Amino acid sequence: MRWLRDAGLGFKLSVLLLLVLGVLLFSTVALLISNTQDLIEEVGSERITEEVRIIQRRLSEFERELSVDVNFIASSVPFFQAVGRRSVSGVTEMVTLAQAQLSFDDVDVIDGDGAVLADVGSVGDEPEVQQVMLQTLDAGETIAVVLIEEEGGAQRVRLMATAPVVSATGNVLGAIQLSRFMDADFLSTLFFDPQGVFAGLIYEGRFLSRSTNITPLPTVEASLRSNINLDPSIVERATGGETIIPDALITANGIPHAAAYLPVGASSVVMMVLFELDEIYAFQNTTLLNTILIFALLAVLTVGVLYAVLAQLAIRPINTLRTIAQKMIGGEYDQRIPVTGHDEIGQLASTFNQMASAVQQRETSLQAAREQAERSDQVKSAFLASMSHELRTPLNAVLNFTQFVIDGDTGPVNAEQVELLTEVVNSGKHLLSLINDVLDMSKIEAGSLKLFIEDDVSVNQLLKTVITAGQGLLAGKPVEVRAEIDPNLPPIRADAQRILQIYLNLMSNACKFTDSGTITVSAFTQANTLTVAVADTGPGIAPEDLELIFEPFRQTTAGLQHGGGTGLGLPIARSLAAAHGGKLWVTSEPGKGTTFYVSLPVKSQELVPTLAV
Amino acid sequence: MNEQPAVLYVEDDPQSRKLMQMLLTGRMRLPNVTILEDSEDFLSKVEALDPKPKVIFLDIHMKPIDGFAMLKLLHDLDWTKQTRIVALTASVMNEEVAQLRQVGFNGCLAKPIDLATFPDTFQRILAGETVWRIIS
Repeated sequence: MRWLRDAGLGFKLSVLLLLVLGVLLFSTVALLISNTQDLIEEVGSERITEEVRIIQRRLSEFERELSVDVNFIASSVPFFQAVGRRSVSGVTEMVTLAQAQLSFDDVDVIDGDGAVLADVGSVGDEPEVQQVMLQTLDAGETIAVVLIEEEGGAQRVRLMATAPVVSATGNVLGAIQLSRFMDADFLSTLFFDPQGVFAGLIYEGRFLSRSTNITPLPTVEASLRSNINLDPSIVERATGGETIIPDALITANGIPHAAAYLPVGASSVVMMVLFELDEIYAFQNTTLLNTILIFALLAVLTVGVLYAVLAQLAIRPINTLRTIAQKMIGGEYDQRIPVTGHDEIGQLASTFNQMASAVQQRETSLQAAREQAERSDQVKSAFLASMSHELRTPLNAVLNFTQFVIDGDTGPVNAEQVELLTEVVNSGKHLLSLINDVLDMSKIEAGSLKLFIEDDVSVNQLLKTVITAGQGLLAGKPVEVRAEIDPNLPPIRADAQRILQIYLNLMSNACKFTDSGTITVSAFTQANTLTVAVADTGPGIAPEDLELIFEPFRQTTAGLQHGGGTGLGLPIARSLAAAHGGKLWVTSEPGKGTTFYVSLPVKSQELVPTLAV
Repeated sequence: MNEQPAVLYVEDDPQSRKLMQMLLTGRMRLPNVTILEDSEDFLSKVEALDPKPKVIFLDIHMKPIDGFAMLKLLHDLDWTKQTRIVALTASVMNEEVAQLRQVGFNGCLAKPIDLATFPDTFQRILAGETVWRIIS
């Protein structure tokens, strides 16, 4: 469902609208189906009633015609004379003629003794027929009857009328019967309009015959059309002489059918009539289709209109809002949205404008504050530079004029004077280093430390200077300076003066604290990192002091005993190493010595040579 | 050192001037040492010098024109092509030194100067080496 969340507002509303329309459509269709179902049932039962009435009328007409015809033949003079003569040829000739004209299926004539005079149509021994004819002979009156008889292994239904053949004088000369078989053709002739109407004769739970318009003929016997089975209870009731039209429709092949069961004569044969409600069904389908089409059209139209309205009322203003907001992100804080109304969108726009004003105001004051801060940084830097200059200039005179006197440039001096003046020089140098350290620390804390980066700083060269300086500082102490330095250290990208400052600081610390033994300077490279270590055999540092020594203005007890310093040298050295992307750390064993390490990247990508810019 | 080089020093601080005078003329016994005390008529005075100085030490914080402007004027002269021009200043904060390097000074000596190493440094400057002696 993520795509739906990311879809546009218009699309989401369209989906919502379609859903609502879908529900409406569904309920309408359901209503329509149930209504048309009732309609079909109503129309269906009317049609079947009508059809049943027609069929019943036809059937009784057939029966009456049979009776009329059989009496008509029996009372014809040439016929009863021929019967009276017992002339087989004469009787046969006449009934053959009658059968040809009146299209009966079977005609039999017997004489007064029951002997067969003529057997036309269905030929052969038919005991039930013979019996009825003998009854006619005895009773001397017309009998109409429905017979079910065996013929060639199958059963058939016979509609039969008999009449006595009576002479002019009133003597019964014989009997005649006319029969129609209720076969497929016969059933088909019962319908007023054979389209969509089917009939079948049921006897003892199965179909004896069906109307010819049932194609293809069902293969299962107890079924009139495919999927339509007999309801035995209804058939039984119809056998009792009742015409039954059930309310329920039967669905076959997806088409609803109305059904009727009617008795045939006084026999136990039941005729089933089916009426196909195809037209109504098709009408229903068409109506449904039309409804759906209209709804779809309505949906498309509504979505279109809604989208257009929405685009005008909401989507366009929201897009404007977004564009303006994006411009504001890009720094154009003076952008405002035109407010077009007081609806939610209008309120959003004016609220947005208020927010934009607030942001703009804040941005302006932030800008001012930033400029103020930059200005004060510049002032601070200028002050520090000026301080450095103003302190160093008099020291230049103090230190060097004194040195001239010590060195005898101005005339002879005695040993005591040299000693005192040397104290002046040493104090002056200490003051100078204090000034340097305090200024460096101020710059580091103000964040205004700037490196002068060169691409090819020779660490070998720097370490040579450091070792020379160390030897100078150790004058008079039984301490040996050892160098274990890879003679081919790679040139590094760094500020040479600052790196020298770090190394000198470590060296001067080692010299200060080591009274005897060795100071070992080693240097090596490993994986683009150059590490210098200064190891001494001094008193060492207690574990709890190991981090203390890197805090500004903090000194260990030993440090204080060894003649002070500012307590700034190591914090500055560590900051300078960090400014190069390097590290400065210490390991120490009290009583044995201390080792300081400085590792620096050989070619740091963070550092850019100053002159190359 | 067959021939003693001529040296020029421009400095407005009288004590610094006296110090360099004692060092260059007194201790190092250089015969041609000129010390100018301000930058006002600097150019005309430089042009009048004979012999032309081989090494020039310039203070940076001077009025009316500072060391950078003086360097620029010197660079515009033909005879300064072989001249070593070194800043001698108390302004040795890092960004100031960076600026000195960028404009093309041949080196920088920080005040206070180191008397003990100065003669050696001077010879190295004369030999064409660029010396940045900032840390004392």
